[in-house]
Amino acid sequence: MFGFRLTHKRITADTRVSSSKRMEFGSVEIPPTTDTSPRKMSVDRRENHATAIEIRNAFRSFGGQAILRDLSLEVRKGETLVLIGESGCGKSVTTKLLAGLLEPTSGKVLWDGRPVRGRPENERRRDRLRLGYLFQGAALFDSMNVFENIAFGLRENTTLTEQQIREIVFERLREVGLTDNVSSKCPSDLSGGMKKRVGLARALAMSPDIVFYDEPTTGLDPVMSGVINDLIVQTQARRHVTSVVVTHDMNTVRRVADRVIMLVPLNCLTADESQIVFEGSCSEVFETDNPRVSQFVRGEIRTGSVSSRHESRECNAA
Amino acid sequence: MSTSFSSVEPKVPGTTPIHWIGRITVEVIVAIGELSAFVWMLTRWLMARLPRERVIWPIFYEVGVRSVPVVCITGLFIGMVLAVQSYDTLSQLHFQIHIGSVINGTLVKELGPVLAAVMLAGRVGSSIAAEIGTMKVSEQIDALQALGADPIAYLVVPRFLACFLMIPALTMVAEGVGIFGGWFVSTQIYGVSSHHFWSYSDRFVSAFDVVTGVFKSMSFGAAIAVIACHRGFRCGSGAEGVGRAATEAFVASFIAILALDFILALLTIQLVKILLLLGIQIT
Repeated sequence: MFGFRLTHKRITADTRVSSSKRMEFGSVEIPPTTDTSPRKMSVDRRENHATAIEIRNAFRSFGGQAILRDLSLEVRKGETLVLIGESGCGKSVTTKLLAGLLEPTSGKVLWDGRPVRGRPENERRRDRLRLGYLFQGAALFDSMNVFENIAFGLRENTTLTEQQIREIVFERLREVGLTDNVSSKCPSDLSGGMKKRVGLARALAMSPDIVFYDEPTTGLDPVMSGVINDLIVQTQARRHVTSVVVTHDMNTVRRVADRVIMLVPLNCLTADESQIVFEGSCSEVFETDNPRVSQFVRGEIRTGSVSSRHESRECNAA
Repeated sequence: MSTSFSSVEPKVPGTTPIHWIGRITVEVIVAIGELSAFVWMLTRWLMARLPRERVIWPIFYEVGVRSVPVVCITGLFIGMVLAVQSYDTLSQLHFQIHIGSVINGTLVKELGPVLAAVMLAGRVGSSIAAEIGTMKVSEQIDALQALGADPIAYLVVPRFLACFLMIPALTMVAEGVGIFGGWFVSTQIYGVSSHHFWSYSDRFVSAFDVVTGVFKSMSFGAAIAVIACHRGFRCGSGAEGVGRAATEAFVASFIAILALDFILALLTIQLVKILLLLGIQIT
C-alpha cells in the first residue's frame, strides 16, 4: 500500500502525471522524462549552469508606454537571481514574462530552451505548475481561507484525496513557520508577514522547480523581513529550487543573491543604452564603481534626480 | 524647465474632428473584437468542461437565491402599480374587468423578464465586475494562472452558467409575485371580480408568451454575465478602476437588455406571423 509519508519530489512527479492524465495519485509509476520534461529543471546547483528560463530581445509596453526594451536575460538552474532597480523599471513585468503570466509585445520567452509562445494551452498550463510565484501583495484569494488557498493548486490540478491534500497543506504551513490553526483564518485576518508566508506556502504547494518572489519584504517590519529572507534561503537549501527575487531591499540582496541584475527605467536611458546596467555577483554589486548602481545600493539621492524625474513625468503626462 | 518639453514634443495627439472620428472608430472596433474573443474563449471552455460543484454551487446561490428578495419586492410593487395605472384608464372605458389581461400580459411578455434582468444587472452584474476587477488589481487573477487555473474557466464559466440558468427562475418569481400584486390591488382594493381577473388573463396570455419570456430572460442573463465579466477583466488600476468597472458593467448591461428586448420583441412577432401562416395555432 502506498503510504502517506510523501516527499515533495514524489508529490511533484505524481501531481504532474495526474494533471495531464488524471490518474490516481500514488498508483502510477513516474514516467521517464524527456529532454523537455519538468524534472530536468530541478537540478542540483553544483550540477551545471544550464539555463532554466530565458528572455530574448523582449519588448513590452502598456497602453503605448514602453516598459521593457530589447531585454535579454537568463536564469540558470539552481541559482538565486535577484532583480533590483527603482520603481517602474520593469522588474515585476520581467518576472511575469519569465513566469508566462504576461506575453512580450515582441521577443521570446524560453522555458528549458523552448519558446513558451506556440505551446498548446494545456501544455503551457501544465508547465507553469513548475513555477511557483509569491506575489507582491501575496494575492491570496479573499473568498477562501488559508487552507483553501494553499490547497487550490492541488485541487485544481491533481486527483489527490482530501486527506492527502490536508497533509500537504499542513506540511507547507509548518515549512513557512506557521501553525495548523492558521489554516482556518481568512486572508483579511492575517498580518502582512503572515500573508507573505501563506503566499509562499501556496507557491510551494505544487513543489515547483522555480520560485519567483516579487518584492517579498516590501511593507514588512525589519524583523519580519529577516524572517522572509531566511525562508527564501531555507527554501533554496531544502528544495534546491531556482529562485528569482525582485526586491528593493539590499538586505535581501545580501542574504539571498547568487547573482544580481539591475534594471533602469527607460526614461532614464538614451536610445542605445541597455536596460540592464549591472549584472554580477552579490559581492560585486556592493563594490561596483558604476554610479547608477552604487547610488541605488547605498540609497543615495542623485543630484537633480528628483527634479529630473518630475520633469520626465510631466513630459509623459503631456 | 518644463516649458522646454512642449516645443519638442513630437507626438501631439490629433485634436481635429477627423482624428476624433478615427480614434472612436478604432476604439469601437477594438472593443467589439475583444468582446468577441472573450465570448469565443468562454464558449470553448463551456464546451470543454463544466466547473466543479465546489465552485459552482456558491455562485448559483449568490446569483439565484440571494436575488429572490429584491426580485420579489420589485415584482410585487410593479404588479401593484400596473394595477393602479391600468384600472384608472380601463375604468374610464368601462373595461375594468379586463384588467387581468393587461397586468398579466404585460408582466409575462415584457416586464417580468426585463425587471428580473435589470435587478440581476444591478445586484449581480456590478458585483461580478467589481469582484473580478478587484481580483485583477490585487493580482489574484495572475495567481489563478500561476496555480494552473484558467481565469475564464474558473471565474467566467460558473458566473455565466449561474446568470444564464438562474434568470428564468427569477423571471418566473418576478412574474408570479407581480401577478399576485396586481390581483391583490385589482380584486381587494378596486373590487374587480377574481373570476374575471383570471378568465381574461387566461384568454389573453398564452403559454407561448410565457415560454418566449423565459427564453428572452436567458438571453438577458447571458448578456449580463458576459458584459460584467468582460468589464471586470478590463478593469483599470486601483479603487477608481474597480468602481468604474462596476458602473460600466451595469450601464452596458442595462443598454444591452433594452436593445435585446427590442430585437427579440420584433423577432417574436415575426415568429408568431410565420407560425400563423403555417397554420400552427399558438395557445
